[in-house]
Amino acid sequence: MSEPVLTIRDLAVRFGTKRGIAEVVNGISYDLHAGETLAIVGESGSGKSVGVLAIMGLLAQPPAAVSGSVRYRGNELLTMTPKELRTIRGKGLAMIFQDPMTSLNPVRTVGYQITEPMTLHLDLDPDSAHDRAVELLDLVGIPSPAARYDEYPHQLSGGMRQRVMIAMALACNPDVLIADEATTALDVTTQAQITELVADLQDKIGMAVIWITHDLGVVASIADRVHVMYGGRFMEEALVDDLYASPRHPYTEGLLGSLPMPGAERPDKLMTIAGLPPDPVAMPAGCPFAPRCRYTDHDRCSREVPGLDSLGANHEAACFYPLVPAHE
Amino acid sequence: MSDFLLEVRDLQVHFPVYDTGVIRHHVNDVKAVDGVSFKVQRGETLGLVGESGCGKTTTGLALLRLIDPTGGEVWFDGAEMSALSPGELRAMRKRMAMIFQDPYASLDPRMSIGKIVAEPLAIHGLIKRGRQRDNRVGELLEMVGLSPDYRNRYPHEFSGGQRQRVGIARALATEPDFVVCDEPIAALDVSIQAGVMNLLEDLQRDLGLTYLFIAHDLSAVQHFSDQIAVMYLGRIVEVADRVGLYEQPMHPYTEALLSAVPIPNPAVERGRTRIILEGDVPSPIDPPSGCNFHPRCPKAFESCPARDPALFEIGDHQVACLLYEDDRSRSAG
Repeated sequence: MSEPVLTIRDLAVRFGTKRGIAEVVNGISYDLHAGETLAIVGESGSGKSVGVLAIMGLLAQPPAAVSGSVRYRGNELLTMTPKELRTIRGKGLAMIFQDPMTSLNPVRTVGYQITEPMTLHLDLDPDSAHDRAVELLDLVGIPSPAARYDEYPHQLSGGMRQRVMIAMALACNPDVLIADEATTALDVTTQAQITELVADLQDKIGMAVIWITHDLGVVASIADRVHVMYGGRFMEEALVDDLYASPRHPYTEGLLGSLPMPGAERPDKLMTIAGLPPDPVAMPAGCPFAPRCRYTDHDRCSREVPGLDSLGANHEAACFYPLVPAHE
Repeated sequence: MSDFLLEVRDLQVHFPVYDTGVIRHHVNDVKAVDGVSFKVQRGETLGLVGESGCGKTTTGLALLRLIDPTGGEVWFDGAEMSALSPGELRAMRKRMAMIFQDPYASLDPRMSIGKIVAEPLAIHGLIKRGRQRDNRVGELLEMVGLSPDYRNRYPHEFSGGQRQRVGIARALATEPDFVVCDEPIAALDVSIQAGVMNLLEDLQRDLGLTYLFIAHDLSAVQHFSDQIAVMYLGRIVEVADRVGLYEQPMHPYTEALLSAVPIPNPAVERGRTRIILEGDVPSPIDPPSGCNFHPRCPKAFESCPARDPALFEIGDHQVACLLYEDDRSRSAG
């Protein structure tokens, strides 16, 4: 396999709070290869957003303390100066944020916001930047792009604003696109438009995508690989088909079981996961999921933290007692 | 006694739009709900599904007269709501309740859980004695899976799922027959949603409740409902039972909506063809002529911009689409 575009090792993020140290991301490692789509799934507070904000260098330190290693094409990002980081952010790595209502600048035109990264990174003159911005607006499916160029965010609908965000992120042909809950605020029909759009663009430009979401339906429709995150750790990593067909971690099993499946058959009951996600200030000593796990009657779970263990080709789970594969 | 607990006929809710001059001229209306009719059978759940801005929440609020409808009739257990005197309306309201979307905004942060749940009892003067009311509050909290000891705590001490349970306990305090559940799980985490859904199902079975279940999440609606009404831009475009709607959607909007819902199964996802709708939902101030879905409809033809289809019955479905007009005349003849 080719060199990964992004290599992350033991990434950890802690925040100092009034109540103590919040351990939000607790040592995650992964590689991202060109052209692939990695989905990171987790519930609110699982650390999935903070994990990518740390990669992008968007966490203020302090209060955050980031450790570990993030290498983009061999260059370590965590030790870079803000100035060096600016040459990579927007060009090598670009990000789409969750809320298109608050992440665009309300007093700048859409066109200005799309051309800004191009004038910074690509040294384009204003005219060619304008032309490329109109091209991008067209590419992301905004009707009458030339007219929209001069409009302000408030004149656009939520779906349109998210498209503008994507156009901004794509302005400099990034190697890696990070989409943080990019479709969560949108309606399903708009969500379908956006996921389709990103997949198309990925085919055209060959960029890698990290898609962060809590929606296991979206994951099934877009991902190649899935990492399930809980309590700041990866609980399970697998190719998308393997994960859905045969979850090996009890948390993944619970998540999948709690989803209402569209279809004619109506299940008796949805599976539920008892209890609440762990408090990052008071993480359990052992496996972070142990207090909610339906199988946990083992001492070991509450004492030791399980590491990710390989369970066959491209399938790993952080569990001392992984579930038996479904097909056996 | 009719089989239908609730019947809505041609319900309209319009919000006036004024221009910005010194003298305010009424220039137009936001037609949030524009002629909606449906029936809900006793002990069943009608799911109302649609995208944001389609008028589903406004419909729910208008049923309880939390906003006054501009036109149309709401019949609840044989009585027309707008004909009731304020006293009668109050008595009727006791039998209807609402569970709100946002468990963070719908509980008063300065009231204890016990006070919140007891408030409907106080308003309707149901249980006056302090001790008995305390007992009832304890009972209600237990019913929704919370400990009665929580009554002296405040909303900020609880998680989203627990707060939503408090909201459910409050809704059930007056022993209503009919509950409007407005996106009751949308604000909750995946692992918490299932617990609240199961609770709502158990309560329906045990107490014989009738639900209007409003949501944008078609999978949740489908899991939960007996009948499903699909709403678009202030109108109902299709009504069918849960299996019929899923297996044989008739209205092109229902088809598109179903195909847009991602299914948590990668193998199924890969084999699907999505119907991607073009553009955005038009403004309800100035909805398109004729069938208001026609500018986005992949199956639109010449008549669509000209004529406005009414909701009519074909087999087990009710559908508002000109594509099926011929079938209707055939089945009628």
